[in-house]
Amino acid sequence: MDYKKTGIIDINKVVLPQNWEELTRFFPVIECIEKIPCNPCSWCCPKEAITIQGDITNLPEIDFDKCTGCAICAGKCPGLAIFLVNPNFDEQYSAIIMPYEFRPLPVENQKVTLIDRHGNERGNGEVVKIRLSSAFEKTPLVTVKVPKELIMEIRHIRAIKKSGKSGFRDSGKTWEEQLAQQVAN
Amino acid sequence: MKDNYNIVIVGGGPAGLSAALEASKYTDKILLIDENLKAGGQLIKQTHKFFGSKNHHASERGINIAQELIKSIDSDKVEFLSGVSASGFYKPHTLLLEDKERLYRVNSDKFIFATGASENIIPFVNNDLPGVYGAGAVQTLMNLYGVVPGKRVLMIGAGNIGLIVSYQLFQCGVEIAGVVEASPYIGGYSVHAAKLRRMQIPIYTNHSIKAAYGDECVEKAVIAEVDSRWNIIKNTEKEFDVDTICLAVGLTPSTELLSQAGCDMVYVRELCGYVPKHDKFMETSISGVFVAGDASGIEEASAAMLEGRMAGLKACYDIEKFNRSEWINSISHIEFELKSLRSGPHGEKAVNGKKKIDIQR
Amino acid sequence: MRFLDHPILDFNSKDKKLVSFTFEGKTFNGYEGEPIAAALHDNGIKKLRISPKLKRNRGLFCAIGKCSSCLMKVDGIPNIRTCTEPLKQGMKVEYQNIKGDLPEVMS
Repeated sequence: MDYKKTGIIDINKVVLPQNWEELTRFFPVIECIEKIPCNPCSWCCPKEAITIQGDITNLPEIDFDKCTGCAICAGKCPGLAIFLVNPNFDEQYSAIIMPYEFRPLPVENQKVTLIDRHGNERGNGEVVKIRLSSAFEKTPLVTVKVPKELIMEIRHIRAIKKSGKSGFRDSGKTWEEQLAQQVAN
Repeated sequence: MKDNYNIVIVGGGPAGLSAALEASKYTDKILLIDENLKAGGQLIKQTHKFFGSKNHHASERGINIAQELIKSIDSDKVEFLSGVSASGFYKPHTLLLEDKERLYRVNSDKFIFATGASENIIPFVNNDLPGVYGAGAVQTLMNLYGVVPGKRVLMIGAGNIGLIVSYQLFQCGVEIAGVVEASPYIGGYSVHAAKLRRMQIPIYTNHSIKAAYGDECVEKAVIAEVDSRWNIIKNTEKEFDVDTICLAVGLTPSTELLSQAGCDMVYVRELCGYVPKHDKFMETSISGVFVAGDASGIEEASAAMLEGRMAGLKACYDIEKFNRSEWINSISHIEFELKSLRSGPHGEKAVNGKKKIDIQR
Repeated sequence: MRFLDHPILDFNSKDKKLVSFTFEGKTFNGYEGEPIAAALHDNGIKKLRISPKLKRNRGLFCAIGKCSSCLMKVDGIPNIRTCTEPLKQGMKVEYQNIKGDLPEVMS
């Protein structure tokens, strides 16, 4: 019940494939350990690898053999609780596919700050791919390279803000002041 | 605008829209009224994806669900009036309406009250200071009009609304100083809490807000630890420099009209206030008067949509008995889905609450 | 303050019409049809009312026309719920005199 106090999900409660450290493909890590009324992961999976038996509040079960790592579940999960992990993305790095609904959206090859489940910053990673699909209703999937030893910890990133279109437009000025400013410009 | 309708539905949120949609499959001359300028109730402020099953529009954003519901309602059968308030119900069949210009009445044999809920407030020093908002108000400002209430927010309440609104504020670029929860446990879904934690937002369980300070607006908030009876523990205060305090401390069913109409009302803690007794078809103690959604007890929008459908269906069946097997199919389907939604630990409250107000007919 | 960029919503539509209104004699701008209170917030005005008995400052609380915390005088008419009243070009918005006075001429 610790997660009900802290909000942080214990990875030991999450089902992983056997010998996952050796895998060289993406597989889903479904960080959904509480019974809530929700089942999109089960009906969106084209391979029927994820199932929810009986009541809609039951937890999803996954058959890792059927999964092809398409990541549709990660784009559809309303709780943004599904991540796809490839422990051996290349010789040096693991990679994670995560939903990222924030601005600024990073671009490919951009360096980003890696953040773990506890909100701690754990160095930098590199964005490999951004996937936008209308089926995900504006939830981009971001693939990030992560040091191998951190792959089961990193669950969030922060893109370094670039100048330009983000932040607020602070009105706080009267109509006359704005006009005057326009004239001055 | 006529003055006689087959069904009059008060409230155009998820429950009211679903009731109108279901009823329009079987009858016409349906009036749907809403106090607000836009239909959709709280749905149109929900930018996050909904839980539930495919039939409850799961994995769709609330804003899109509202649009879909509105689009699929046949406007020849359902007349929608916005900016109209219902101000009184008179037995047996008259509802008093008012808009800016006039006060008038409509008659019908069937009324469905899907009047929703209103935000709670909790006592603390200076809780009336400008900059203290209900969570719904923050959502209205940012998600309907693109205006943020401030730059740094302290959220009070770690139920689903508190967690979701914190996430939505963060999406607008607003900093969240923390989420404060008086109970020892986070009340909302753990997936929502997990998102906030990885976004570096602290959640303070066993804490409550003690005071807000500022000259004209909020400039500072003070929270403190509470014991198991929610009494503040001395010398545990923490201060936050925030310009906004957002209260997500629960909702109360808006049942004034049902109470005034003379429905049997009961205070049910699990349903968060006074609610009308009703049967499984959502019909209250007054025949022909139905309730649906948060007005029948606070739950999630997916439950409200199902309750609305149930009320709409039963009202139609009473007017004009349609195919019996279709009727039985439809109601058992809705009953099954409601039961399924309310299974699991988060549904216990609703199940226990609904038991206390059940009318057996 | 308005946010400029959002992952899901887009408020940068060109169809929105900027209008001007006055608050306590000063001219501000906002978008036509949005609630008066939203336009005031954008301009940093959060104090909307003074409570009748204890004369305390009040701001927006419920934003759905239920709580009376945002009642103001608009075009001479008191007790307007500024959280639901749509903004129009040239509106005159003021603090109201406690409970509000009757306008001099009711047409």
